[in-house]
Amino acid sequence: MKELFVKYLVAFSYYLESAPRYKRVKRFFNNLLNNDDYPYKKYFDLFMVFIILSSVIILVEDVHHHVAKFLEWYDLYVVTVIFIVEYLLRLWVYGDIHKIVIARYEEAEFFEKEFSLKNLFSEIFALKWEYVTSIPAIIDLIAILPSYRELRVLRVFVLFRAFKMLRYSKSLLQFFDILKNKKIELYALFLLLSFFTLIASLMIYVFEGAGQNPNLHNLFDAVYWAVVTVTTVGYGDISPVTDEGRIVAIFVILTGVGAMTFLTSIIVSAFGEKLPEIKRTRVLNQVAKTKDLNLVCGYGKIGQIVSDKLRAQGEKVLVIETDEKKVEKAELDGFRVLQADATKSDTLLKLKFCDNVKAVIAVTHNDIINVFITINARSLCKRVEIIARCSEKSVATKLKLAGANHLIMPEEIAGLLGAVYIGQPVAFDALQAILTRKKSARIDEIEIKKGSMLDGKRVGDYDFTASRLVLLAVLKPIKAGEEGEVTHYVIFNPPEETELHAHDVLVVMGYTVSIADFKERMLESVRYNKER
Amino acid sequence: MFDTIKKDNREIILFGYGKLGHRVYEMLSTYFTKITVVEQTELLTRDAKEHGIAKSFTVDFKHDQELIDLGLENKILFCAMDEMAMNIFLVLSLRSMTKESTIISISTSAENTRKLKFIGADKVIDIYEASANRIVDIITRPAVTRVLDEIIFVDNGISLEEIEIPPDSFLEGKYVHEIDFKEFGLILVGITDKEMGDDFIFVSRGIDHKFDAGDILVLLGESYDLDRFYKKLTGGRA
Repeated sequence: MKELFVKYLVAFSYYLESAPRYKRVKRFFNNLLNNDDYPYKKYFDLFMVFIILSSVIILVEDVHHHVAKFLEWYDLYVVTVIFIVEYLLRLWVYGDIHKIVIARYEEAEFFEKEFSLKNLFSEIFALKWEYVTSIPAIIDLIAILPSYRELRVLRVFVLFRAFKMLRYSKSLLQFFDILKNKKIELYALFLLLSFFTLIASLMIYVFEGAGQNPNLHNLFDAVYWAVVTVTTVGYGDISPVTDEGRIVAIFVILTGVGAMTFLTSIIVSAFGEKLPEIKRTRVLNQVAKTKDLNLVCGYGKIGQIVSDKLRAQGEKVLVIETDEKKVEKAELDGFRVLQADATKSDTLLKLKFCDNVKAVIAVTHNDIINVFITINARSLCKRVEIIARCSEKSVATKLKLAGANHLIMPEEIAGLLGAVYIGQPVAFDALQAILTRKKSARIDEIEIKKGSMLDGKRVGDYDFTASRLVLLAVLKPIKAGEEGEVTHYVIFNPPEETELHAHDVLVVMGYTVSIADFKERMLESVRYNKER
Repeated sequence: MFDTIKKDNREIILFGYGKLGHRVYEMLSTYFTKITVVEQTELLTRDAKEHGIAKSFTVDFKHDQELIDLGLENKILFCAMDEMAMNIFLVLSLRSMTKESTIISISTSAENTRKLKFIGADKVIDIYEASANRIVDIITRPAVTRVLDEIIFVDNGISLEEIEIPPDSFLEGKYVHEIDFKEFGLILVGITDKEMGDDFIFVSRGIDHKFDAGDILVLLGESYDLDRFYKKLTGGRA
């Protein structure tokens, strides 16, 4: 009998282990319940908050007036059922039973031991018990209880429905996390206050308990008075009448004020210490959902200009900087900033580097750090574009080796621009105007859209001059590399008979209006051709 | 960028052979032969000498006479000191001594650029701005950057040239639309039309200019084609 059971249990466990559908479903629920990065969790959380709030409102309303029958029904069945289902789901996704079965079974086979059902079940039970006894799970369980409202005292558990909200609000949880760091201080304060309250209540009871004070009847009254006074609340329903009692009160009040100040300072300092981290998590949360991010590593002079210009171009920018002052500057300038070290793989991994980042721009003033950033980024992702700054020529070769796609050497650019200017001031001005886009003429790139007027045509078929454009070059895509990266080869001043295809890139020079007009025409022709 | 069309024989005086000046010298020396290096400290001058620059001098920039003795007139004065304050001071001194020379200075911020232009630098190159522009272009307009790179950085014979129209050439009196530059394998980027002032005008603006002697054409093309065009323009006189 037992053997048969074990046989089926093990077979079933292996079946689950090899069933992609089961795994998919389980993963889905796990994501929905526990994974903050899962895009749909947000909606689930909102839904649960709504359920909780509606249920709490109904229960509170029910204290005085009877609520409508359907609301009672909704609270009794719908909400409770949802809570129960959620509880069971959480219990289910917490650990894998079948994995334990398989592990134990294989262990038993390997050592040729007997397969002990007792050990197996106790292990499974221990796993699930671990979940059941966790504080959020206990709150969840108690939150289910208010449905048995026949017992009036169970109404208190409405509170636990409100507590349940904690699960769905990160910032609330964060608050407790912050206080956790100050556990020792808070504990000391609590101990001190308890001790002091105890002494104070004993003293007031000794001085005034024997009939001097008409409001003080027993020790509980004395404790109540001490607590009310030491917390600086002071209702005044019990107040000392003897001189001795008042002297005790003076000390209790002074200590109370001191203790409250201490408590406030503990909480404030805890927040102060945690603030950078809270900021960091916020930035990371925002960034986790952003695609095509440009990482500007180093917010020095170049970093600032680059961030600014990229933003003006509608690109998404994240500044990574270690220096506090520069972080502050970047924040003031309105950029998303992560105070972190870009040479550490940990920093980049947190950003979901390979999925989200389009380009890494290593522009710290230190060549060596730029090399490290490049190595770090390239080792984590093959695809990402890396642009690194360096001053020393010897570093340039190392940067190339480390995997930088483009090198920026400010001194070299300066020399080059100087040389060009000396040789050809007019051409230089032209180039400068094009590069800085200070005048309205510029060079732009236009990809040929599939099915547009240029797709499948020749260069000569289109009159660029009439559109007030100068066609400088055509870039033809070539697939290269394992990951199918596309590189282009350039045809300068393409002859009339050059064929054009979709995904070719035209590099044209013209005024902003003409370029915009040309792009518009391209899009229109696609639409027009589609309609036909 | 530069080739047989017109060899530049002008002399350049490069001020500074520190971190910046050193690299600037390297870039300039690929195109120009007559470069003099001037430094303030003996150490850097020696450094320049060790790099094989025979014409390198130590000059105290605060002594005007020492600067004048270098022979500033009709030269190109390139200020590339590592210290920005020194560049500004230099440009100011140099401008007060010479009216004819072209003064180029490196700048590291928009503010310095403004100051340098104000005190009379002919050209100011903001190295950080230029670098940042390049980075932004790589990201936002990769194809354009690629094309510009091929023109400026890559030695593949394609370059942007400016050519002054000599008197009595075949272009004289013709209009832009009448000349098919494609026939020469060239692209006309723009011209400086003397009749319309010294401003450079992009051809894509669509104004049909008349070519006159003295106008400057900016052409893009292969060196061979540019050369051929220049010879045709000058009638083989050059």
